[in-house]
Amino acid sequence: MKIVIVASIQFTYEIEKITKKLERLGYKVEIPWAAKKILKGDIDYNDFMSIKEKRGDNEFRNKAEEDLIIRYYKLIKKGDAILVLNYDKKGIKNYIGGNALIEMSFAHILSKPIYLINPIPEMIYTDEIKAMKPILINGDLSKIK
Amino acid sequence: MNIAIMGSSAFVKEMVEHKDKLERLGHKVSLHEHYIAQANGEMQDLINRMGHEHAKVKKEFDYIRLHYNDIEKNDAILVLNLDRKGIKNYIGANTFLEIGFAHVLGKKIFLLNKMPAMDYLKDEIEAIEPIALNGDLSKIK
Repeated sequence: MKIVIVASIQFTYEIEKITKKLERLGYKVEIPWAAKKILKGDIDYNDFMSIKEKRGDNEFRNKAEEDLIIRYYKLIKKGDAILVLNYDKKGIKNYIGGNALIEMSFAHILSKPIYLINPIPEMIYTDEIKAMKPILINGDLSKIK
Repeated sequence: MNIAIMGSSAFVKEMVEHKDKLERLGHKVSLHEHYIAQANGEMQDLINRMGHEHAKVKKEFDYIRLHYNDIEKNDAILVLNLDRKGIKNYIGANTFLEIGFAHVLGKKIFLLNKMPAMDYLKDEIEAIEPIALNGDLSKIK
């Protein structure tokens, strides 16, 4: 079973930890392009975060070999499920950003199960998140089936 | 061109108006039947339910998938990003997802107005680079 991790690049090191745990459970795992580059040492985490904060992340996206939104759509299509790492961010509990929201919608229309590591956040698009019927695992990766 | 109109359900009347305008320009336009009915003052029950059980109604009709299927059949989408909730050129979450669908399906994306200053969608919309018409439908080519 292949799981595609959906998460903010801010959580690159959490993505790494969860990837290792999932691999130990026998899953194949796909992670975001920028997280992969940071973990390989091709991009510096602090540089990425500081540029994203000031100017957004499009200069990194432009360096990628392909459109990163389409890349993830294809990976989700080939995968069996997505796992959203919705950790607290920007003062919001269990935050889900715009990028994660789009990727969840890809999983939804491709009929792939959507697992959320934490409960559904209270945000302006809580109703859209609920409409995609995510499965809440409350941090317990063994609940992924 | 075959165009699907997208936008907040608060803009159903404007959607029908733009459907007519686009058809007069020779385009074939797709607009969800629920929007047309609501613009005609029908489906009051659904409109009321959307007010107090929004998520449930979205689940029940699976509007996210319906719009994806609609976009798949067309060449382009026109997003009616009109002012709403005090935000200029507002794009709600559902419409944001539809822009994402059009992008991965390789469809042209037209925004009726300029991009809104809304934090949650800024990076993605900039990456997708939709074409802002500034109200001029004749720019749709």
